[in-house]
Amino acid sequence: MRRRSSCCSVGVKRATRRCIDSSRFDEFGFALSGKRDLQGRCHQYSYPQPNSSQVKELCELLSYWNGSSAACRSQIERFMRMGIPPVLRGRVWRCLLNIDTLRETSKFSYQKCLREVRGSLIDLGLSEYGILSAIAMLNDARDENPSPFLQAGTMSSSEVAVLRQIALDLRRSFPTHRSLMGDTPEAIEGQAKLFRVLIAYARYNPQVGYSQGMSHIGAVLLMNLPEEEAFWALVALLESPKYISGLFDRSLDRVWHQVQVFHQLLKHRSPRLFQHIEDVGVSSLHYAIPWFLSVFTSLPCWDSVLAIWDLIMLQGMLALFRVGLSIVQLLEPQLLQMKDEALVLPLLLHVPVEVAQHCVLIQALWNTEVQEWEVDCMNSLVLEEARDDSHHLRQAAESASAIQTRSQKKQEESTVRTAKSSNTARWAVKASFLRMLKKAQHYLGSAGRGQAKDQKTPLATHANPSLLDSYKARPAFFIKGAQVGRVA
Amino acid sequence: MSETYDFLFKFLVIGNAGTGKSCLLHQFIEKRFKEDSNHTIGVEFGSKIINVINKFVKLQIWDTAGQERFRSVTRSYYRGAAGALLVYDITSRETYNALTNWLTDARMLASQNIVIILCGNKKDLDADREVTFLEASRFAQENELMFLETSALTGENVEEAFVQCARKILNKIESGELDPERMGSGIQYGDAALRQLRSPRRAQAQSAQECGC
Repeated sequence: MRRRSSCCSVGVKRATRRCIDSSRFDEFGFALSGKRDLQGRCHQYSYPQPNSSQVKELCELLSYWNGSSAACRSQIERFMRMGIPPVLRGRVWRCLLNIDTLRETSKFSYQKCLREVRGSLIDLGLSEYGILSAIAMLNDARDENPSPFLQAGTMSSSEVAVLRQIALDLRRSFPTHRSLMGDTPEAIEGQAKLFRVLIAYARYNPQVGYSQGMSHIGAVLLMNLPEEEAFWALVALLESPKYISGLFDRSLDRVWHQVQVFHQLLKHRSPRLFQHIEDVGVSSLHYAIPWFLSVFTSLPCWDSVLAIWDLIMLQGMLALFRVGLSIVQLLEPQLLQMKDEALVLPLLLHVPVEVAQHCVLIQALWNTEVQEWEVDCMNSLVLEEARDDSHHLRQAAESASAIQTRSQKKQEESTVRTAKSSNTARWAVKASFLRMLKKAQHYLGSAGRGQAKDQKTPLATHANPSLLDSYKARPAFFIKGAQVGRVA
Repeated sequence: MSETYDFLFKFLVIGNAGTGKSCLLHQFIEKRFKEDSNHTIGVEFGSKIINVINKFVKLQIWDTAGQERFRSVTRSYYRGAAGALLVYDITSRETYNALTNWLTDARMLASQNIVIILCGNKKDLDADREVTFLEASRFAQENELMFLETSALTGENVEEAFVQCARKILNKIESGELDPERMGSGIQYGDAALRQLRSPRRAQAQSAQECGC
């Protein structure tokens, strides 16, 4: 009840806060700097503000929220189009990510984990509040002659490496946000919170550990949720195939795969622009990996970032593809005029405010539909191309042992050439075929799911490492045992 | 675009996480230290035109992510790089110990003639030094690298690092050791007119060689 009444006065509250903080920070907590923001951040927001009856309606929806109900989900999408009020965002995310259930059903205890981490830190002579100053000490600990701290055996060297990397990144994630900026008590606490959430996740899933990019995700969650909920939100996002579990793993194979899927989507949706970007010499890899791994938090307009995140909580990877397509398509006129890699890449890496602002980008995002079957299709295509390529390469390698080097080389070249030339034609046929197949599968239930997984195994187990290396040189076709990210 | 230059070189900045790669690039391009710096995910990009031995050289610089697991991504940038700054942190032996790995990657994946300059960054933090100048310069000598200690904070030797690397590449072009027109050299001519001017001389040089044999 209290919550509802407080939500209804959202507009008033924000108005007053705007006045108080306007001297140093904007309404989302980013430092206002002189004439031009060093980070290129825009502080003029254009997100829509729903009226009080709409806000009331949203509060009601959240009070009887049921994550598995399709009606609830389509309702929430309607509110997202209207714009989620910042004060309600935490509640919306908690509902969408089903945090409460996740926490209750998990065997993992956040508090217990923190106690263990603190214990290890004490053994190392550190504290979560002094991680940065301790980096030098951690360096010692990694030397060939381990320091007495490590000999105590509380932390393995890989754990120390994770600890060190997180510590390095604490000050380098949103360095102009009030909760992380400088040495104020608020920032010291903010960095300690971020450290705890990230180290706990690294312990929750040691297979993934910590990857650069996660500190941004953790920080955005902490800006909108209390610490422990932020941790569970991170777990939900990175563990469930519904969200963005297709992004992080130890080797970055997963994100590589997703970028290939995006690459195909773009090729399919905007063939002319796609070709232009390729001709200039920019690969999707160069800009889409930073976009995806930082979950678009590098965009200069924070209201847009939050709206994108709302959609990610609803649609997972599908939302990332939609955003990526929207940005590239909005930049199309500018990109088509650019003939130089040195102009194209910076534009894609640092999307200008005119395109990233809420009233432009988010509008375009809602108009850019990507269907699940489309993504499934591209997934299969990427896997198939990788398999075909590995097959061709393997054949070439096998023939190399039998035939003399020279003739083998010719054959290899011709294999690659035919593969390339037939690629375009094959693509068109395959795409329509796969689309039909997928549609059929959709109606017949999920019979095709196992199939895609099977494709992963032969490549991962039989592929010769040297062949994989030659793959890496050809990003457009490369995929190394990437996990089939089923997009929910 | 009105900018004119004689050559374009593709450069890479590589090295462990937290050694100050992005700050070096920022200091070089903007001439000031980047106080609130984000860590690099994937790659960043910068370019600047410098004057070396009376030639205008445009440097196209790719600044890469340092975390170990990004290594597979970083590898995809090596192709066609003419020069590289290999960065370690003089206050962290760990980043120095990793140099061999970085060097292996660069030698294997970049063009054979890639010119590498070793940069011992954070020179301003001399009190916390863990790697001596002598040790690093020996390493550089053994591996045929140029070497400088730099400070992205004060700007000391930052421009020099880029300029020295570019100068060496220019020297190699002049001496004929490097052929800018070879695929994947990481070098391009600035504009067509210049290229034409240059070709007769190149042809001459070639015919001279032929005469020699």
